[in-house]
Amino acid sequence: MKRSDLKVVVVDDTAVSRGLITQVLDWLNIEGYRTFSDGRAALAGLAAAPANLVISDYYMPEMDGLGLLERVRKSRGLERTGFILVTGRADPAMMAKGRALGLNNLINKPFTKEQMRNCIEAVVGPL
Amino acid sequence: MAPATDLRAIFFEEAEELLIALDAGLRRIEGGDSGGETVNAVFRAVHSIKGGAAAFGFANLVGFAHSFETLLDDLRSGERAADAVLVAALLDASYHLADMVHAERSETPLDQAVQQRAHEALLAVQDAASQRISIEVPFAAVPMEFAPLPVAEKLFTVDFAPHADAFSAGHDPALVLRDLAALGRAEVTLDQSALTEGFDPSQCLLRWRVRLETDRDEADLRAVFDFIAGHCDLSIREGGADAAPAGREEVSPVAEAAPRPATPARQAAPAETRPEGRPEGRAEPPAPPRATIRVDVDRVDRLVNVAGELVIHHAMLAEAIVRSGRRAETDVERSLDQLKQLSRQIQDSVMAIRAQPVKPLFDRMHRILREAASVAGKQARLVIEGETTEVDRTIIERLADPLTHMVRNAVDHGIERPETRRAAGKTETGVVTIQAAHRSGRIVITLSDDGGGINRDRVRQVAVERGLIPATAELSPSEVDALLFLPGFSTATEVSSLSGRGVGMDVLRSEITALGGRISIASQPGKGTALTISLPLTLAVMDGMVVEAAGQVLILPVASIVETLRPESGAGHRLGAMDPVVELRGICLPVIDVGAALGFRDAPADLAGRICVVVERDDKNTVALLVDAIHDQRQIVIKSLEDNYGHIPGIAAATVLGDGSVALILDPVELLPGRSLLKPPAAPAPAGTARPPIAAE
Amino acid sequence: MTIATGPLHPESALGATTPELREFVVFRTLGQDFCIDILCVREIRGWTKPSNLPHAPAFVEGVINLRGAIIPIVDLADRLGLSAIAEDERNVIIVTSLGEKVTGLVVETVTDILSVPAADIQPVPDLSSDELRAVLRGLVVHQGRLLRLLDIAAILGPELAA
Repeated sequence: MKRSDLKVVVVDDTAVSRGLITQVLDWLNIEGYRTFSDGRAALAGLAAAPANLVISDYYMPEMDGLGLLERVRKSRGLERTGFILVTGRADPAMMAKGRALGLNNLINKPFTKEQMRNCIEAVVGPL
Repeated sequence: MAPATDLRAIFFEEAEELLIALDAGLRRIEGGDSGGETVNAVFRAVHSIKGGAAAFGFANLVGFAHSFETLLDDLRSGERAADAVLVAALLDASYHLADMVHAERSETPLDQAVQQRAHEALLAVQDAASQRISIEVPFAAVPMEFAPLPVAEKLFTVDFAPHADAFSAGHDPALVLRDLAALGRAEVTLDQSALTEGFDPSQCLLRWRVRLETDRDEADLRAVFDFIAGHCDLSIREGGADAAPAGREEVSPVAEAAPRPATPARQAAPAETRPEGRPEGRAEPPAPPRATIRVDVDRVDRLVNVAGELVIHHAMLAEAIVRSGRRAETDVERSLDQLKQLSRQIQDSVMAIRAQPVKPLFDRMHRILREAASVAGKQARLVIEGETTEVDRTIIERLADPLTHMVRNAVDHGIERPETRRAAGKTETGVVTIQAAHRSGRIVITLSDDGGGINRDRVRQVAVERGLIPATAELSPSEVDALLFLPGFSTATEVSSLSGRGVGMDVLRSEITALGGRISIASQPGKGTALTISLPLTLAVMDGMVVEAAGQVLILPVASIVETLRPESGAGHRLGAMDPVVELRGICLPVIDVGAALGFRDAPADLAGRICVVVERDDKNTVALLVDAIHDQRQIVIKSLEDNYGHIPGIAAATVLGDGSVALILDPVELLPGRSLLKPPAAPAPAGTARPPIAAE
Repeated sequence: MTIATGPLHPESALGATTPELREFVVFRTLGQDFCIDILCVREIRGWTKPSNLPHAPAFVEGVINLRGAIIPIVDLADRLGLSAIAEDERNVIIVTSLGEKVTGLVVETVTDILSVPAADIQPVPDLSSDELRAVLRGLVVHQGRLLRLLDIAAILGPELAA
């Protein structure tokens, strides 16, 4: 996938985590990204303009990352959206639920930029 | 990868907010709310701090936060109940977490032993059984086949009218139009109506309307015009154009002024006329969240000063108009009145910018109380009332230290040990209450405890031992209580580790006095002690009564005035040599001759022919102030005397009158009958320069 | 081509002498001449009647409004232990700043602004009274006049508002 065509949506309730993710996207020269601070806003943003890939935090108020994934998978037109979950604590239950919902990949915090790149490439193919 | 330094700053800022959320959540849990969302919010706060800390390599912080998180997980999963032991451990952990964050922020490492103790204490409350083994199971990535994204195209109408000087400023509209067209599918309409016979070809007289279908947003379109922005009129609207012909709304004045029609000089873009489409419906943008801005405090302070000057100059103008004899003209009168209203509104708005609720300050006292109680081996909880009371921010900042001392004192010297309390028929957990309220144009903060009250016999004894009062001194209970404020007095026969770092009451009093405030103490044996701080709302405008005493123009705060009366000849009684009293509806009020109290005249004046202004002082005592005349009532701007001079007993501040002269604002509480205000009288009257404390209940 | 003659670096020539020159505001009160360091002086303004301050030392005449700030006014002659000068609309107020505090000094007249080489400032002779010596930093003889160089910090010391 050409990185110039890749549209990414980053969802995290803390500005730091959003910044850490977009920093990697900048490093990868992925320009087409938008950021949201909660799942509801991200869904609205995706409905207005779809993306290829969602990179979302797990622990967020109101709607957690898997809740967002579930809604994305059920939304018409968003079924083909790649979804990466970012978490500081990946437990087996979370992973099982993610797999059932069609999670594409999972990355543990903290991550290096190479780890994040590998994680993205594992979903979208070499950049 | 090394995170950028601005992310680091964001981390600490967010961590501060998360710590506040953590504290609030834990206190809800302490109060019995262990509902899912409360616990989740607490968990998320710790988790987010951990996540950020991990990215910045704060290993200690991550380790501690991880254990903290594990304990919270037990609570979240319902494996643990939120009992007192667990809540206490969680609160302690949150305080330590805050300390760790602050240590990283200030780059001053915490003591290793302290960190280790805190971490061990946290691990100690964890059930051994719940010590989870974290298994690193790699997640098998699921690659995705991507279909091209459906492009959400929007239609924009762009009206672009370069100014006549655009060419001479080096701009080429053709290049701009080409960039714009590259963003999508463009239809360009040229408006050459401004080209007239004999036009000046060095001027740009053409205008364009572009209909652009694109997946970009408005900001991208605007970016195209960045360089020419100062040399064109530009309108970008989502949707088709309305029925108006191109260029109608954005008429360049230069183009209008251009001479008669002629042939076009050049055509910068393909021109094609097409029927105008109807504008597409456009959804209302969602209401943005209430916006806030961060402003440098200095800027606000400058505004406060200028707004104060405005009020003073209104008064000066009003006086000048009176002197000119034109006041009677109704339009002058009306304008002057409107100006007065407006300057007052500006004042109020500016002060409101600086005012902040006391809640964050009071909330910090939870931790102080907990730690003080823990060291002293006592049990105490904090009750906060009136936390939405707003105070000038400068006061809030400077109240933190005195309030901390007061809370520590209340725990250290007020609240009894649990067994003592039980024996006295009280609950084992003592209650410390902080209240804030506005009263008589001041803010009054009361910190009370339900402890044993002041041991007056011991206070007396200590004061005699230290030579502060003669052994024969006869003191009322409230005078004994006030001995605590004397320099060199310390009640601690047993010096606890808290008193060691705490301060004496005399220091506390000077801290409050430095803020232009007053402190008083009231105590009831066996029932508790209350400290009351009363502070001015600095820099505010207030309503003042302009009075005259001994030839001096002085101001009395209207908020403190109950009524005025003109004593008839012989209405006053004199008790003893000095202190007259006046009778008001059967109650005898002490009369303070303002001129004499301030030393402007030697002997107290006769009551006859003068005016008594009855004021309620904020210690709730009522006195009558004797003045020679009342001139006026008006709004005044409080000016500090301390800035360039110093504190004067009996004087709260100063103000500038309409003629530019200075008038002093009286502080009724510090005006005491028959006492010299200049020097504290010799013992046994410690309350000499200070106020008498609130009478014991 | 000619090479310019004369001082090659006029600025540095100036810079070499400037530190040695001190500037003073010269004034007169109760018939005596004084001067103070110009760096302490914010402005000189006409007489304004001050409002009385209670419990103030006699030499503090009161306070005035200086563009919104309340500043105390000190009768310099009185402060120096001479006698108070007569209240007169021709008196002037020298507004001085010491640290953050601004104070006005009332004097009869300001006569001059003077540049004096630092070396010309003479020590205070022993015969002066202790009271005066405490507030004098030196003496300057200028055109036959004896100027007493005052130490503003000593004059407006902490005892002012005590």
